[in-house]
Amino acid sequence: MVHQPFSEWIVSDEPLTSAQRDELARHLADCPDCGRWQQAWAEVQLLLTRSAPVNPPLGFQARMMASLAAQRRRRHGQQAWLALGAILAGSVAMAVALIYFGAAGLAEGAGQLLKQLVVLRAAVAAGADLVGHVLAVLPPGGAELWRYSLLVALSGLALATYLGLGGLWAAAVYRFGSMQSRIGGSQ
Amino acid sequence: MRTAEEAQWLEAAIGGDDDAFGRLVEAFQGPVYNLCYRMLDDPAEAEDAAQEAFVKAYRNLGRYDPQHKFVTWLLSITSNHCVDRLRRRRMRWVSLSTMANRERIADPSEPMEGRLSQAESEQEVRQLLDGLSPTDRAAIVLRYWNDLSYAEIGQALSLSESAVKSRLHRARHELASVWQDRQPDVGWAEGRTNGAPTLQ
Repeated sequence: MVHQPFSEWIVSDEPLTSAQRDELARHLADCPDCGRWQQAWAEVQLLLTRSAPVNPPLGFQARMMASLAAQRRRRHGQQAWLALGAILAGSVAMAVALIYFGAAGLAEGAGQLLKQLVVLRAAVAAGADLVGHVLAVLPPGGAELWRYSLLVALSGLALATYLGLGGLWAAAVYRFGSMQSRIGGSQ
Repeated sequence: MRTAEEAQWLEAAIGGDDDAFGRLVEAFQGPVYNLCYRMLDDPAEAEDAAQEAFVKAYRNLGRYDPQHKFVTWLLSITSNHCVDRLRRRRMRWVSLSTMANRERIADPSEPMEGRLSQAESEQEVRQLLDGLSPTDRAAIVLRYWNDLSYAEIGQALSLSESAVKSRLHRARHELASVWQDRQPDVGWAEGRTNGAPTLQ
């Protein structure tokens, strides 16, 4: 006996047309296999629909919030240790450089660094000249506006970078301090 | 749609208010835990998974798109987390207790309501879901327990609506086949493969 498309219709979630329903009813009257298939699906549906949602164990919310707070403390602690590690590494590097190169060597190194900075400044100036040439091509009123916008954008970027770095450093030190005081308080 | 209260809690939680996030946890712990429980079939693992899903949601609150229901977004995080967990433990997919329980013999002539207690029904449901792939299982739970539409299930599982329909159809077919195969053979299954009547 042909069971298609009836076995698919039986488990389908899509509503059947009245013609399909009649056709299925006629087929089911003659086909015991599809009848049992329909019964199997009906029983599964019954199982699914009478199975109530399972609620979380008592105190789930409190445990959840405690876990969230613990994770946050752990993350802040890691950041504080990272900041401390960076400061210590910087200090050790400075001490090693002082011992290895001596004060004179360090001064020479600083001089070299200054030279590099001068070269960098020249490169920036060349870049600025290039931007100036590009701006000169623009209409007179527009060039002023562009120059002003560029100045504001670059100044903002520089300020945000300095403030951001400073803020990160201050936050790390503050968190490390508060972490230490909490540890001290709990002991 | 979001309720006014839910919207307030969300706004406050996004602003870093832990109490507001606690309210959201209280409001949605039921559907989140139920999804984890139905997916993972283990109360302790379900609680861990539900907690981790809420933590992920907390960290990503800024990415929540208010165009969608918050519960759909939350269940999306939860189902993805559970699917990942199931994939990680694929090697121990079928538990020994499940194998043992499959040997139960029932009388098919008796109506199902009479022959199964509530606890037995729950056990049957867990075993039926156990046989589905993680994504199909998530689709079935979201459809039958959370009453999500095809579109919402699609959002939760990152699938198209037609893919959701097709997965659900396949999953229903699978559930009916497994259920039918587990009933005692009374001589009617001739010419049948994998539960469904043979395609002819």
